[in-house]
Amino acid sequence: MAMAIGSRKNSLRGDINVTPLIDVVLVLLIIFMVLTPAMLKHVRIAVPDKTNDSTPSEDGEIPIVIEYTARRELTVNTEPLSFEHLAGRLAERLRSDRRKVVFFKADDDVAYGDVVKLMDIARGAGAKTLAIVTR
Amino acid sequence: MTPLVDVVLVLLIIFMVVTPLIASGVAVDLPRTEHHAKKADDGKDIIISVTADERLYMGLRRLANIEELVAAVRAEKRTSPEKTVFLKGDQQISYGPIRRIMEALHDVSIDDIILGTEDLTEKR
Repeated sequence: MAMAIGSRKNSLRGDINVTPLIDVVLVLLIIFMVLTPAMLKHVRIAVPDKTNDSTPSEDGEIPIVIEYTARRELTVNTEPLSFEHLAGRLAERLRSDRRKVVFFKADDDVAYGDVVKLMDIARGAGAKTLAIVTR
Repeated sequence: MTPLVDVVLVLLIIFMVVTPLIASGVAVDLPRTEHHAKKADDGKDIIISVTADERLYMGLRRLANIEELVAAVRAEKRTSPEKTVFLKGDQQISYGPIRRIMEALHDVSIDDIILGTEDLTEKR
């Protein structure tokens, strides 16, 4: 790009050649601009068979089922809870749970955003697998 | 020479930024999460979008109902079984349509679904 063309051949050139630096910086800039929006953020969900619903597993552990009704009532295995206490309660339960599966059962009328928020809380509390209860 | 290089670089950057956005389907207002996983958009996902007015899309193709959507996803899965289903639902819609899509996919033995979310801290 910018080049000193030999008009002053005898004088010493005192400036640093920045062209390779600019090249590298531009390439890095492009790489980051391309990579940042391309990262898809996601939550993985399993949709198990209906038989898995609330039935104890072979090792006798009771699965954790989070229910959320259209009237914004939240229960964990039929125990009513508020949104704020959910994370603590779940973390406590998940510590002794070896499979770390949390089932979700939400009414059709609740906002999808709220359901994902619950899944996010469960993931934050240490759940490994999030599953949907099918009807 | 320099203005030309400037313009070409800016164009290059614009296209490189816009291309993955086009590839990942219709723009929807995704729910915000904190504890999500991240993966690169490698174009190996079947992207289902459900917009705020409950229109269904697979990629950029509009589909009339869940049956058509499931048929399209199955056809896509048959040609490339390694693709995963990436479900993008608008956070404003109710849970019902999302549940029906997941159950319909479960009925054709697709029981591993990825829900698209957006970073909680990211402003748009």
